[in-house]
Amino acid sequence: MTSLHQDKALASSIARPLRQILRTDGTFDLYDMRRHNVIEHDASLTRLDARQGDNYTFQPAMLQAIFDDANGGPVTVKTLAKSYNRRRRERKADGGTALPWNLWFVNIVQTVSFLNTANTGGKLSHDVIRPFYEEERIPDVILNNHKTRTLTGLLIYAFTLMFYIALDH
Amino acid sequence: MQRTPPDYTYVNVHSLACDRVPLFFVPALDLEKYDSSIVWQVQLQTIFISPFTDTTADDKMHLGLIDLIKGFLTRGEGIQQALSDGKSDNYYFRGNIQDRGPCPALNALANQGYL
Repeated sequence: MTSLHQDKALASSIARPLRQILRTDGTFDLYDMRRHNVIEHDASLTRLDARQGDNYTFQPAMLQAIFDDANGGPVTVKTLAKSYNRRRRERKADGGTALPWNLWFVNIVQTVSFLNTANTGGKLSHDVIRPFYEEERIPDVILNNHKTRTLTGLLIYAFTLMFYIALDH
Repeated sequence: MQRTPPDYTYVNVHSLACDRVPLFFVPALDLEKYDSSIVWQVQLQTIFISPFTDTTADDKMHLGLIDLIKGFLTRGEGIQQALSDGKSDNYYFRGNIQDRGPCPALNALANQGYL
């Protein structure tokens, strides 16, 4: 929690789903997370769907679409709502099926999780987003920000996202 | 000992199987076990704050609302030990995508030696 600047509630709740990919010896591999509809699911904002053959590789064009949703400005919970709805429309147009009901809220939370973790005032600049997705590197501005990220904060973002999704829909 | 970038991360996460453990990841880099060519095994020690070690897997498959609620109900005495001093002594080495998953956050933690 200290390393990740998270409170107990946040750290325990977001790590809990990993139990399902644990082996009997209590370990797991990162690639086990690719298993479809276990932790990985369709509707990721930066990954293709499982039916498209590769559900784990970062897709630069999809990140660009997120930037476009924000009109080139910082990504906020409001622009993420726009991205969420766009992604849903794209999935439908592509013949994809809706998420299982039990993954719906997962997707909501995941959509705002980086916003909560970054803790950059509700705005994600390109300088923060690009290294995270393109290089899979957490920028120093996040690592050196020792403010505690909370589960409450994550849920506030989640419900705010749901509000904007309904508004934008 | 000179640090060599990890190509693959092997994570020991016993505490994840515990129902009430507030997870505190402590990346303890065991360099003695390090195979100098490819594989860097990083043991992720965890601090068991709760005495409950219920390893019974339940049927939950995802990070759902119940998980989040349980997070609030997590009991513990707080952090008892911290190996991290809060300063970022991080490095970065991008691992092979073939060994990684779809989650950029966990991949990033692995790339930067937190896992």
